[in-house]
Amino acid sequence: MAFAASAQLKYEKEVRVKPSNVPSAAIAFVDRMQLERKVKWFKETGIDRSSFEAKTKHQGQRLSIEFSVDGRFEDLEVKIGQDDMSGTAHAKVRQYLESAHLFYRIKKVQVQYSGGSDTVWEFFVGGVRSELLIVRYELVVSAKHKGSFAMYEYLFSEEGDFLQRARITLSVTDNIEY
Amino acid sequence: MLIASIPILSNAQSNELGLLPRFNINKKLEKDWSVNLQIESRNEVVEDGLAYDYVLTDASLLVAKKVTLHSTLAGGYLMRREDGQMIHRAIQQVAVIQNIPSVTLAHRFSTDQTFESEERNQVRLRYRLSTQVPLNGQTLDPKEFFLKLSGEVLNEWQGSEYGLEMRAVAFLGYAFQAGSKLELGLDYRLDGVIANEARNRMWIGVNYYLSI
Repeated sequence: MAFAASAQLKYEKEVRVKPSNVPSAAIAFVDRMQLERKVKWFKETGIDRSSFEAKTKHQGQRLSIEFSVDGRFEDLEVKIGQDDMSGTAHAKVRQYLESAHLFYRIKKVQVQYSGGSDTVWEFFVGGVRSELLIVRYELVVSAKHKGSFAMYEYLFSEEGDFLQRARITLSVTDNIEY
Repeated sequence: MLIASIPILSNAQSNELGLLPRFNINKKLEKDWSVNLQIESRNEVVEDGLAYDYVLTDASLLVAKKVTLHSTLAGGYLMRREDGQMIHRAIQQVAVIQNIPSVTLAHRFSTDQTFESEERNQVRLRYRLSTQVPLNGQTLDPKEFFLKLSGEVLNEWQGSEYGLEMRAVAFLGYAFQAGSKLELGLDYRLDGVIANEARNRMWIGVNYYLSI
C-alpha cells in the first residue's frame, strides 16, 4: 500500500510555560470552556511549526486544546478508548491498518474537534453540533514496517477514511537500558 | 562525609569512595539490530584514608535486537582488566521501556557469567529499575536537563556461596541532542551483608552516552 504522507516525520519539543506567557486569546478561550480542573500550558515546537497547548482532565477525560503561536484556536482533542469510535469508523480504520501493516497495535485514540472556536465551544459546552464542526480521529499506532518497529500518528475522518500519517520520532533510551 | 553517613550494617565493614567514568556508544543497524560498546573505569580515591588507586577497566560489546517497540534482547561479552589479569564475562539481558506521562521507566533483567583464572565461575541474576524524568515538559528534548534514578538488586552465586548486592543511582543529566547525553551523579553499592562483611562503595559517576 502506498502512503501519500509516508515520508512525513513528527517530532515535537514540549516545554511547560506559565499562563502569563500564553497569548491572551488562548487563555480567554480556555476560561470560557468551564473546565473542572487546573490547566497546564505547554509550548510545542515541531519540525516546521510551533503551537501552544492546554492540557487538563474534564469529566474523567483527558483534553488537549491546541492554539497557534498567536493564540488562534486550532482544535480540541479528547482521549477516548478505541471502542468509543463509531462502529463504522472503527471497522474502516482497522481494515486500513490491517492492509498497511503486517503487525500493528493501537496505543492511543483521540477524537479531534475543529472548525472554528465558536463551533467547537458550542459543541463542547452546549452540546450543539453545527454543520461546521469537523470531527476526526487521531491514532497513535505502533507497527512493524519493513522489518523495524515504528510509531505512527494517523489521522482518519469521522467516517474512518485515511487522511494522513506521520512517523513519530522515538526518544533515545540507551542511558537507562545499558 | 557521604561515607560517614552510611549506616553501619555489620561489625566488619569497609567503605570506599571512587570515580567511575563511563563512555557508552550505541550504533543502530537495519531491522532493529544494534551494537553497544561501553568502556568504564574504576578509580578509588578513599579506602582507609585518602589515596588514589586505579582499580580496573571494563570494555563490553553487546548485540541487541528489538523484539517489540519497547523491549530489546541483548547479549554480549565483557572483558575486564584488573590487577594485571583479564576477566571474561558473558552477558544476556532484556530491557523493557515503559512510557508514562512525564516519566520513562526501564526494567532491565539480566544474567551474566564471569570466568576468571584461579577463581570459581560466578553467575549473577540482576534486576534494575531506572527512570528518566525530564526537568521541563513531559518529554526529554535536546538542550534539556533530566534526572536519572535507578535501583538494582544483584544475586550472585560462586560455587556454594551466595551473595547479594544492592545499588542505587542518582544522576543529573543533560541532553545535548536526543542521542547525546552527559550525566553526573552518585552510584552507591552495598554488598557482603549476608557474609557479615558489608562493603559500602560510593562512586562519583560521569557518563556519556552517544547514539548514532
